Amino acid sequence: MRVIVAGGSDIAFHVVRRLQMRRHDVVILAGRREDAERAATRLDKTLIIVGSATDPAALEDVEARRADLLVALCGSDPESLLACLLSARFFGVPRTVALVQDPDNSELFKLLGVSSVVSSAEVLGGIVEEQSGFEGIANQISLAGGRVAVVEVQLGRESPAVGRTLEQLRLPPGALVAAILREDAVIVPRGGAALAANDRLLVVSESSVSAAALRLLVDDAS
Amino acid sequence: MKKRSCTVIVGAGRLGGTLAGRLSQRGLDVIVVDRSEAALAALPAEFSGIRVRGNATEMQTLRRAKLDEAHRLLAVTDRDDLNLFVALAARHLFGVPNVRVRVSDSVRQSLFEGLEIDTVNPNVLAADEFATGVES
Repeated sequence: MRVIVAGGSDIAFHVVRRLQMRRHDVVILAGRREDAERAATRLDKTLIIVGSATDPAALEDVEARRADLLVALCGSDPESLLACLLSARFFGVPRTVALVQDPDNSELFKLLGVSSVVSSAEVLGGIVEEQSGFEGIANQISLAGGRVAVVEVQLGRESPAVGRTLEQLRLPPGALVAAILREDAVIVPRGGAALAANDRLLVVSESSVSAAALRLLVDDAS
Repeated sequence: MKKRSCTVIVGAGRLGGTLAGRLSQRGLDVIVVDRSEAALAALPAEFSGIRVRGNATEMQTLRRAKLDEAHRLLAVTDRDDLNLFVALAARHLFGVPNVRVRVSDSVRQSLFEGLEIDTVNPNVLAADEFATGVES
């Protein structure tokens, strides 16, 4: 995929490196010369242009018409939004991804057709909220732009789920136990599977029901 | 919601200030938004409306400026991206019927027009004016 990364910050640099490791063809539009020069010393064989993704001339310079994706990591939400809209509507870039600083602005980005909108404040805030109530949660991953939560949780002895089957547990619709790790075995369970103390469960759910599902499995510590 | 007939101007620089003064003189209810206390203080004497200090890219500021009741928004800062952002929020989140923005670049101008936002490009207008009567 041909990707344009708009922005010269550290996070932009890390995104570029990661994309290159996956063999995407990446070009960088850095707003400031110092950022462009710094990126150039750390990256091999990468086209780096000084310019703003809000400037049609700069988007021409990076051949935006041929790009498959734009990642907007500009200094501010208005710049990122303009970069996405120019790229999509004027240059025909099929997909745009933006990092939004103010979570209140996510709605506007989505309304205007930005393909994926990430707000780090929102993601972290959501994780902190869920973590604050629950002990025994080892890992939480957010997928599909925040719509799917995958949580690894260990059942303590006092867990209300110990000794019950998955069917009896009645997890909310939109949540399921995808795997049970018991001793060294990985069990992909059906409804009749019974849960035991110390089982590590992999729970996959729509983000909106994740907390409710977890409450059925662990003691609510708060 | 019934719209009061009030005009919100974002940007209290030279263009915004002049515009705000003119509209006040015509008897319109005008609210001016700017980040800078100094810019708001420097609005011309003819301006008789309300001043709101804040960052217009924050929804809170737009609510304080009563954008949900406004029937016109004029975004006239010197940054095209800010003007666009406020205009899109006004149109899509606050339902403001009349939205017009200042823009400096002609490609951006056609983008904004495609998003159904009226534009005024001061550079083009000024160039037209200068070119009037110039034949040789």
